[in-house]
Amino acid sequence: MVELRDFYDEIYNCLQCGFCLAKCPVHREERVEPVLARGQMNLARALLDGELKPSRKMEELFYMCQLCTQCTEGCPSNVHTANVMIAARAELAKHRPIPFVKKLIFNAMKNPGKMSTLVKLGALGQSLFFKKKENMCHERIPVLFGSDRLLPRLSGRSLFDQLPEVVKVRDARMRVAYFTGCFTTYVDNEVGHAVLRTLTRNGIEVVVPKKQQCCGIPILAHGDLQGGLSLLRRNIELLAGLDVDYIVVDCTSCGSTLTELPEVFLKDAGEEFAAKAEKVKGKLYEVTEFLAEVAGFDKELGELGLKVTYHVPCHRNWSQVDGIRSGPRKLMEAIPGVTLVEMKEPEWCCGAAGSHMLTHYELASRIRDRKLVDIASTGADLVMSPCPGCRMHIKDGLNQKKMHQDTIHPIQILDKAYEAAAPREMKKAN
Amino acid sequence: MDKQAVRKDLEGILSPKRVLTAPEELISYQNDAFPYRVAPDLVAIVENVDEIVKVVKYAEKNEIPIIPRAAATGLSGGTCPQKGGIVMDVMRLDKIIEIDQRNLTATVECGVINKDFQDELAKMGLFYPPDPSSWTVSTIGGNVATRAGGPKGVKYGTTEDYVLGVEAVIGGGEILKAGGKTVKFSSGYDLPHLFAGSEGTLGIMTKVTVRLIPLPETKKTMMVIFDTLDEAAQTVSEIIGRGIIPVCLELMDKISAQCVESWKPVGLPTDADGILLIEVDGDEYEVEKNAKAIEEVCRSMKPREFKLARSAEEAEQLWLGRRSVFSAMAQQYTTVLVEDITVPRTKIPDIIRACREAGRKHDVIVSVLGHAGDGNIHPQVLTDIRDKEELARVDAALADIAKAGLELGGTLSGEHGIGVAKSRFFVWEHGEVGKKVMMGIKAALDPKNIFNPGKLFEEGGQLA
Repeated sequence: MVELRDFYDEIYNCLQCGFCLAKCPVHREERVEPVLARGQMNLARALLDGELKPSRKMEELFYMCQLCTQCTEGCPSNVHTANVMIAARAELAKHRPIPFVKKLIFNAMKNPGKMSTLVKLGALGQSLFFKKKENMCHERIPVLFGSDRLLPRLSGRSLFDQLPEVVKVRDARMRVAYFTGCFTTYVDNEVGHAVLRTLTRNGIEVVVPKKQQCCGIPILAHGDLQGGLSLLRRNIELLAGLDVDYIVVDCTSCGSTLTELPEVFLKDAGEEFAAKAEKVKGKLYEVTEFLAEVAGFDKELGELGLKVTYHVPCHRNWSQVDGIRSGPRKLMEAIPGVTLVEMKEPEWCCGAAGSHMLTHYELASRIRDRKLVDIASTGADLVMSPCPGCRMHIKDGLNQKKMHQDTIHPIQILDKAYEAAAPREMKKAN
Repeated sequence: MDKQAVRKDLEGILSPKRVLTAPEELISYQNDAFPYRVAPDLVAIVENVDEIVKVVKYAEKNEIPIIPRAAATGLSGGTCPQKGGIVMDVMRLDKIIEIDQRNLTATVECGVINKDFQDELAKMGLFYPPDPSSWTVSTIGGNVATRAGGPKGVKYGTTEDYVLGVEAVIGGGEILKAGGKTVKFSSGYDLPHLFAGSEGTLGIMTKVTVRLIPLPETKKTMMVIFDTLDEAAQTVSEIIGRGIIPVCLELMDKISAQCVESWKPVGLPTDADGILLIEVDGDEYEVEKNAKAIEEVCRSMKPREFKLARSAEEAEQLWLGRRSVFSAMAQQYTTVLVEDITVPRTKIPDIIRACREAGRKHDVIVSVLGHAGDGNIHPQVLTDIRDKEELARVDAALADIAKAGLELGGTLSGEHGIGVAKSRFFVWEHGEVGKKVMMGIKAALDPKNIFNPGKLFEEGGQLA
């Protein structure tokens, strides 16, 4: 298996120029060196060279990185800090056990049956102790999170229970596979239905492979390299084996994991696997960019009357057509009555960074405050983003600041525009 | 030094969270962009002048070195704590205190990032020209401390040309307020400029007042391609000799172009050894006139090709190659050392030959590019810091380049500073008398020799 040592050259390639400083959301708040990519490279180098031994402090520092990948955008040496951090955390896990709660959750994520049970139990627990607030919820009695902190509301039924394996359309012009991702599958089912409606509306047959699992990134991010990679590997095998023209995701982090990580972390998996990973990479798009840049979409759209701003997720550079930046914007241009108001720094991290906001909530909130000010100054009513982590974290922030805006996936806006144009032909996919 | 005792005392002055002592944290404060590493004993993260005064008083009493540090993008090891001690991180002093549009001045705290400052100024139609290539991340305090320059130096000069006033905490924890907002100043020694290029050896700069100018109206960009470096260098002299001052006059050699083209091709010729990138700015009339004059000079030198950008996009396209050189080298070589030897402008061909000869003689790759218009070239040594045997040859080549530059009537550093990287050549340039005078000045401000000791004057800094 790939390990930290395989990143030795990449770590040494860091010139220590400090250009990452302009890009690192954590450094912008903390303004200290050890959290910066440059500092992290020094630490990883010291660990590899035996200058320092694994320690609690090292763990604390490696886990300060959000894996947002923004630093790589500004790096002259193209050092992929996030990959080095994944490997470094796995290296630490060899010496320092992964905490029990994390292990429990990872175990469930690795096993679809357990995952489904855990989510059902969670949903039951939430219905008892949490109060609904739109598509989120908060504690009735503040014990763990505080009553103003919004959390994702688990859906009692997984998306897979609501859908057939293939959603057919008459005279389909193409056939795509939909990798739904954990959030849409278990939490925000509505996004999934919107994806299916918009695709089928555009004459695209959709395969929803029910054997798909978590893409692996939450597990990889927390030091369980083997567990995360086994998920990634299984997903690649599954997706590569499907008879489809394209593959779509609605979560940009899933997209990044499925397209960018196999060649880095599974490069020892053999030529046959590499070919499969390459095949998946060549076919995979985020769903909005897919419609806007690849498949084209029906322009018969109803008027909506919305003012929207676009928060561009950090995991954006894996796109084959740079469509994560352009796709949602093109869709909005096409919808009558939708005004897209750009914020000052649409590509600045919102602080969510997947599960980082759960483990570093205070820091994540400070990063988010900048984003909220930016959102407020646009005067928009809606914040769209094709990343569930961003939507959830921004929504929690909007709620705490008593701001009126809501968050939404751009595909849901397209879906609304279709609905406004004509009565819904298909209520739910089944 | 009793590190635990010092830690406790500093925690009392600052807060426990702002005193770093774990080796895992200290390792990040060993070096800047020059790969010479020594760990500090502690790091103090300060947030205001009052704290700086207290820490300075404490360090002085206990004779502990203090090394000021902000973005640490320096290329000469100026922030390397080579004698241990306390690294003082001033990154959190990041306020723009005032932009005075009517006086064309601004006052900022030392940790304000150059780009953040420029962005604010641009909103008001104002301009602060010093633009080191690290400008998106480096701080005004660091820029002053190293007298940082950049491509625009040909016309606009470097950081020192904009410094009007400095506030600094010096020996005894006293606050020195030197200069101010006046654009003329003939009252006593020029203390504000003493801090320009002081590299943290005279005290901790806390605030800087700088001069601003209005944003130029427009600009034009040109590229001229010559077969040989000599022809390109000759053209630089011709342009300057005719009294035309472009805003940028950048030179790239064959190795640079090949590096770019083998990485992300932008259409640079890989067999031409002298590519010039020239930009003029000002009002419409001035730009038109200067562009035409430059074109005439260039064409009279019979270049292989002359290109004039017709639009902002075309200009950006011409710049793309120059801007990508650093990335292109960084991605093809583990370590890139950027030197900044500077000579009188007419000596450009000679220094370029000397750099190449140094590379040949010691068998290391030296590519040459730089701000030819102000005589400042950047020999880039492409190497690998893990290869100790090669590093010994790199050290020798760097010494040869330094010697050649000085023999041509040049200076060791045009815009990066001496730091640890060039301190072993310091006496070659300044002589024993120069060194003695400077040490005397340091002693006047820093009697206990606690501020960044070892820099400038003490030999060392070899990589192997």
